[in-house]
Amino acid sequence: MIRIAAMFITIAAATATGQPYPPLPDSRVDITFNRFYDYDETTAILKQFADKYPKLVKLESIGQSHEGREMWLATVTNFATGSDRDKPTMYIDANVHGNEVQGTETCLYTIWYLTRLHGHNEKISELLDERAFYIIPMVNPDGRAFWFREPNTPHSSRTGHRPTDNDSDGLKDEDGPDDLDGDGFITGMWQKDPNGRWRQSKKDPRLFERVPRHEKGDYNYLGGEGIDNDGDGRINEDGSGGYDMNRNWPSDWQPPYIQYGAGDFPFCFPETRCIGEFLVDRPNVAAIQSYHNSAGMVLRGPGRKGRESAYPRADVRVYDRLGETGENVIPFYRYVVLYQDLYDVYGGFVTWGYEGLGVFSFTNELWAASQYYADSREDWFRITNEDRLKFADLLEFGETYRPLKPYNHPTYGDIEIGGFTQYAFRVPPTFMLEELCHRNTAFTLYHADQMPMLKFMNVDVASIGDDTWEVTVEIENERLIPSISRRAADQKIGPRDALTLVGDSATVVASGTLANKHLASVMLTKHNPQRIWVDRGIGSHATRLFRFIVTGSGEVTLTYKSAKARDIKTAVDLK
Amino acid sequence: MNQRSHWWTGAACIAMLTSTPACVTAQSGFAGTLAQLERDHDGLVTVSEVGRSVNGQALAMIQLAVDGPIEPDERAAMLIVAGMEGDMPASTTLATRLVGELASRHAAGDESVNKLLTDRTLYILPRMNPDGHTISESSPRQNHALNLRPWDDDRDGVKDEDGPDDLNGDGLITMMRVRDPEGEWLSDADDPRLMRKADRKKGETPAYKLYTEGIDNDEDGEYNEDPAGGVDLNANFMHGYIEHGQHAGPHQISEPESRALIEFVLAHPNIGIVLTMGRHNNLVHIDSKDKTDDTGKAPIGLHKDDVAIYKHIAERYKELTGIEEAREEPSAGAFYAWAYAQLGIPSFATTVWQRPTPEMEEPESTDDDAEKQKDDKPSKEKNAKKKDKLKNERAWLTYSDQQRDGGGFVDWQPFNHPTLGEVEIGGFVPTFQHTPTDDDLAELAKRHTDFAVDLAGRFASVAVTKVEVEQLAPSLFEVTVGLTNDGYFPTGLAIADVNRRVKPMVISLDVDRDRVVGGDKFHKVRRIDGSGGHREFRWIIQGQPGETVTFTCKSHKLGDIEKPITLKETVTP
Repeated sequence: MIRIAAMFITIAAATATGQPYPPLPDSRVDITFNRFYDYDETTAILKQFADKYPKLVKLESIGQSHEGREMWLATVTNFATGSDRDKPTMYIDANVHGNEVQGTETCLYTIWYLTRLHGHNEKISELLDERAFYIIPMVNPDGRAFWFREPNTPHSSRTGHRPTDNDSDGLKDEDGPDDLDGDGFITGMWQKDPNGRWRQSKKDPRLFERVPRHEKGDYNYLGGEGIDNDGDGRINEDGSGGYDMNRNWPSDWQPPYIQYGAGDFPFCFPETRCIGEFLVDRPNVAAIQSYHNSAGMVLRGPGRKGRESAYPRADVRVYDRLGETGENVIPFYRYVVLYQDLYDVYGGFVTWGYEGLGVFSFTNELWAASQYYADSREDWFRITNEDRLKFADLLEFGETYRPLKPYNHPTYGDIEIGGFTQYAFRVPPTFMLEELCHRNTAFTLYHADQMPMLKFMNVDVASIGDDTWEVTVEIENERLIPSISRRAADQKIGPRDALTLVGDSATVVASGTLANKHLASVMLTKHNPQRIWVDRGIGSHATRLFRFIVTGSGEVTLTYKSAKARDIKTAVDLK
Repeated sequence: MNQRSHWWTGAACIAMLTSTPACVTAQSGFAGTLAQLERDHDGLVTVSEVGRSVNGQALAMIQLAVDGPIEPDERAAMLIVAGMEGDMPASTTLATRLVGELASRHAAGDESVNKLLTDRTLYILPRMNPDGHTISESSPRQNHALNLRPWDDDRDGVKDEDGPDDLNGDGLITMMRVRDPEGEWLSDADDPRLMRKADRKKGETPAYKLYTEGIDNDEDGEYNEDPAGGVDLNANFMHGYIEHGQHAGPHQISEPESRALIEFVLAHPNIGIVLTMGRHNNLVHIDSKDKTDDTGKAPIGLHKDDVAIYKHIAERYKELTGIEEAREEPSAGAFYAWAYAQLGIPSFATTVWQRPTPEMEEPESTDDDAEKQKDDKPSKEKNAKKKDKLKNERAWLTYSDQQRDGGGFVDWQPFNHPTLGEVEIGGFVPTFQHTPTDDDLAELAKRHTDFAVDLAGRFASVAVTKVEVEQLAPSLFEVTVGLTNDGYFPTGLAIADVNRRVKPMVISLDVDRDRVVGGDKFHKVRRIDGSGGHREFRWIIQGQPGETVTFTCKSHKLGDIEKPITLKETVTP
């Protein structure tokens, strides 16, 4: 929080020249954050960013979805200060579940904010000069297109759209929901029944409630709108697609009989595969954020209890600092562990990021129903449908609800169709979208800011004999995230850090790591002493001490290389 | 088959890179062998490319099938996979010879083979790891089990920069032993050619360090610690996969070779039996522990209700192949283990051969040690393992001496090493322990062919064995159909009930849903037991006397059955 506060003070200082607040430029891309953008619109906006900010944004497609849409990747950094490959980089994605749409707008907001303020705000400038961002706003572009184009329920449709046989009858996607009343939404089917298990809600007759046992109701719920397209006696049991790409990542991947939707093998879908290959090939990725909806959560792994041991304590402390800051930056959101507070997940992206790649990784569940009423800190799951409907009436003028209307169903006969639309549960009302985008962006940029940043604190040269020198080097990591996570060190993920000393007329005769500045005990490097391997990197806000014993004279160069920090270099004279 | 490009275009390109440009017509080596098989058995053997290795070598899939009423890709099929381990080229030779053997038996009019190749299809991927084979077989020969994905074993930011070197120029990568007070090794008293770990607690002072033959190419103090590649393809599949395991790859199915194989299998739901040839043997070592993994849901080995089937087949296997012993190898990430546990089909793994037992005297020194250690179980097991290893090496050496003219071992010879000084180079010849003689291979090919034919004769085989029609009312009929499985295997193993991966047979009558008064429009059936297992299905439908309805049973694994049924009048109105 201190750093975030410092950021606002910086802005405030810049405004202290007598100009009205804030003297910040408009974006070169004209975009508003009070509406959602479908696949085509998002594509057009991304192209505009690349066009209007060519020095900061590169747009490329890293693959095609099953239906042939592009997998857009925006690389955002100040290319004049170095390639993304040489900078610690934060990976951000959204919308792996087709219906979890607002993460895409959040990604667009992040690009919009970074590009607009680079060169005008100190922190944002540093984030693009010293760090980079890989942003994939639509992991499941077919799912996004489907959500905007096709009628959906309040909770559909998560899947990608590779045809899949969900009911094991040998046919694929042959019995999905049908928009029987033609209103553009899949709502509920209800039927009057003197022995029904439902009745109209006492608080609001437009809604239904289950009747308690031993009481009689007068309605039955028949499921989402649809007919038995394939004549097998079941309705809507095999719709388009029917799998979950966020169960298709390699860490703790389990087959579909253990984890629904996992696919036949990790990366069996073109969308997950291209991202998987991209990330395996990018050791510079040092932070990961994925946007989902909903429930107001900042989530980390493990995905089940049995995997706790994959999260060493040193890393959990870093995670906690990041997550707790998230709770402050985004009110109504809780920082939670996936399996403890949500449900068991095998093969999720957030767990692969950390357990597989050794990178601190979060999934945010954007939007919490508790935000309907700003004075409420109640958990989202305490918000009732009556609360939602009241809110829909007062603040959205009824837009997210469709009243029940009679319908003659081919199987059921006389029924009624109606209920909440796909805008009711998981996405924020559009007038609240911008704040959602900003707060989540702010948390993500805080996370990005905490990627390792190394510097030489002290380099001391002491003479210990004729032309013989003791060079003591102190290196500091100024940020929260260690240059090698404990997970990566334990599992031997990626290259080790290394410190080298090289001089034209100098020879390193011994070197090592010092446990303590004042005691002379040196852990000696075994071979090739001019290079010290640093298996655990430089820790969270930590300093480490190294020593070289050098003979010779003149200038020597010290270089510290780390996959997840910018390489640092300094020169000293042996004198 | 029409989607596969012609296999030899790729193979020829690779051949061109490694030999002369004139090889386009005269293919040599493995590609040539396959081309010859295809030419010699036109219409029976079809070869296609199903993928490429890391270095771009073709992965050739052989299809063995005679033209019949059903397309080969629609028939129940057995898949044989060999050459997954780069240091076991003999498995490739074996699989290729098995194809030749079957083709010859077909040509000679062998009835059972003809019937098999008409009713069923065999797919054979004889060389899944061509890059590994190339490394193992070219000079210098070496044990190279992995594929050639570049890999930074020593995490110094450079890949594959310190592999072994043939220092003495004998064309073989063997071992180096160096006298070193920090070493752990001793020359064995019974046969000083063999090295074993010294036990200081027994007063043994070690004398040697052991290295693979080579120099410290990257000058980091380690020898040969970052050789070419790679990933163990037979540890790259999902069942029991070890994340961040030493040669497991960056993730499951990370390699072009493993991906090509799994995509072929998934595109061919007609595959109902798998047989692999390599380092595993699940017929000698039947994993019947009946445990689940840490999810609590996935059986680690066999489902307990499938064990009896495996035991039955293991008996036949031992009888036909003569193989009764094999090293027990971990199955984590193995292809055969995935095919059983996650694909749900009978899957078997055979080793290529069993070393002929040499005549040898048991050295006396060892037995009482185990006695002394009996209270200390872990150390007892460890010692037993150490002893087994030595015993095993002694047997290999004796076999080499007695039956292979000593060709399996290079005697230790002094060598002046650039950084280690005086060393001795020697040890077992690479791949020797995985390579039978040519005569042995000929015999093994016959035996494995017998086993393959036996296995492929065990498919579930379902037929309609009963049809009953009873008229219940003028336009109401009860129809009963019985299906019998005369094959050996059930239509679905017990594991398939758990993993739900084998699609059920879908059984129905082709009448409109509203005419079905009783019984399900569709019956989904996962299991009809083998050896005469029988299931009956009953419907009550509306219909007209004399009308014909069609019974259908659709199955991905076994093909479709259709049977017209006439609604006969049985009641006089």
